[in-house]
Amino acid sequence: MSRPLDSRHLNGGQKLAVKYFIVAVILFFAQLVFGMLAGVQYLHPDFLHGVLDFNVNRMVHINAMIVWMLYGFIGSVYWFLEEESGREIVGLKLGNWGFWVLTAAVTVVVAVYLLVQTGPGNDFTRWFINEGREYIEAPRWADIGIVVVMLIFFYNVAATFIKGRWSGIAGVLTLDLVALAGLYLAGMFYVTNISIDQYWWWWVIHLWVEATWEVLVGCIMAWTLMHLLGVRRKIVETWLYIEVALMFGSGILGLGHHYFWIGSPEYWLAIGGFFSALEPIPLVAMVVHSIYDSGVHKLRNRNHPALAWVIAHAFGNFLGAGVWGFMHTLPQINLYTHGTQWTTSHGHLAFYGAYATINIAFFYLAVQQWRGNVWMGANLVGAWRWKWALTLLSVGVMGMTMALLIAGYEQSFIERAVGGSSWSAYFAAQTHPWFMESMAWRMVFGWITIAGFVLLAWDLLVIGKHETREAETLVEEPALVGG
Amino acid sequence: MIEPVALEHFFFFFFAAALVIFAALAYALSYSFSRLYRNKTLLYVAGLAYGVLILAVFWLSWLANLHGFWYALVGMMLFGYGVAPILIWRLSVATHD
Repeated sequence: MSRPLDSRHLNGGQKLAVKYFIVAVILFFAQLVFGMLAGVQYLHPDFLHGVLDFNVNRMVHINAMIVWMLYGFIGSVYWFLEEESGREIVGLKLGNWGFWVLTAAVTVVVAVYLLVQTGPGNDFTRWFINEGREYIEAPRWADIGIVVVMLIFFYNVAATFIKGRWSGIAGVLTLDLVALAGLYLAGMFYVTNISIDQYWWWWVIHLWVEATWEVLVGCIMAWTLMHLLGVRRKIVETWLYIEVALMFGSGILGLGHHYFWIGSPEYWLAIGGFFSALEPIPLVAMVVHSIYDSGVHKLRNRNHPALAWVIAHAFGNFLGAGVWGFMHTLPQINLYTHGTQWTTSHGHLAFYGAYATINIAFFYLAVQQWRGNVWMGANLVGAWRWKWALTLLSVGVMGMTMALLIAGYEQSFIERAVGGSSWSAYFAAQTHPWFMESMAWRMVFGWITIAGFVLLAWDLLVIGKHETREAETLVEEPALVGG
Repeated sequence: MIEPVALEHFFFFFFAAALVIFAALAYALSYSFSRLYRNKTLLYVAGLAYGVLILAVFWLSWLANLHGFWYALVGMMLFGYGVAPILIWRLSVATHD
């Protein structure tokens, strides 16, 4: 007997969410492919020269990552919106329209990136080809489209909760979506002073990632823990408030670590350094609380792959954001490491640990429901696939992180600290054996990551297909008394 | 105000920074497990980890060329990281009751 993926098991919001998830997985693959192309160009600079230059590959690699993660978050929210609010989504048709507009816009933007690539450097370029700001290169028409789609998303979430059932998750999520759409506007105007321009640009880059995205993930995680482990609502909502307070307390002014070297006033050195040193506190809270939780409900759950990815999230977030971030965040060392492969190393592990993992965990929750609440616990048929996918992806990303760490150390030492950031020091560092060997190893681990992705995509398509058992009904966890 | 890391301290700075976070993790982990299993040995391990954290933090502060007022701030942050797992554990118990 086989269980097909059947949309009759899904409500309206979940059907829309599935569309977001499918595009997210496709963009995840695009991220990996263009990352590999850019990686090859470190070793063979002539590779695709004049056809797909490094700047184009790098841009598509990073943009695809940002967009697939956003697609995953939006899909996850649409997935639980009807269940959380207790009613149908208010503007489901509008939400579907928003999905197709966003997807069409992403397709056109990527096509222009790849086929047109550059323009004359005037307003036409800014509006129709490339805005020119790193990480948010989308041309202005697409920027406006992104804000419109975010506002549709906000309307759907806020209006559905207002007309339905309000909750702690609903409140935090709604406020966060205001910030998600609002902060993007900070990257949509120009000033002639490059320092001021960078000042606002970092609002989008840092505050999206270390504030609004973290809170969004907090909301998704809260809902996930209730449905994966049976954790009581009161507990997840209380901890959602605590984590949001800790993240905002340290994360907002942690923004200062991007203001060290852009021409901002000197006090940002102290503010950025101090608040960056506070940023591991939410991670420490997460560690203590997760151990407490494991003692309460012994991690009994109905979806092993999803829980494994949630655990990978906790470790990946701690290592990538905590350890790798703190190692080079104080201005005394950041003077040398800023913008080197050290940053790339931190970025790879932090984005994987904090965001890719939680999205993948949610994909597994979605597939379970899509197949009619199929059993995905112990002795699952074909469980080797998700285990190997998790292992290969994690080993691949960790290996790339270590390789880039060595390259970054060499770069910051030889080019910056010893060579004083001169032109000749730059080339000395870029051609140093430590750098070249690290880049070669990065490619090896890149292939391992791709193998993990292929296995993940295959698993998401077939997991639970030949399973006959239903997932058990969740029993709310008991309280642990005493301390 | 900010004096960059000396060349000869370059590697040790990264090492000390990573040690700070790993010692903080070891402290939080061993403290939490000691409460979960009511195990005194683990509590001693937590104390040891906190000792390593103190050493690593002051080592890092020295490598980062911090002076005067900054040491007071470092001391306050150390105290904060010391009580954080204890408070978070209590909060966990209180919120789960």
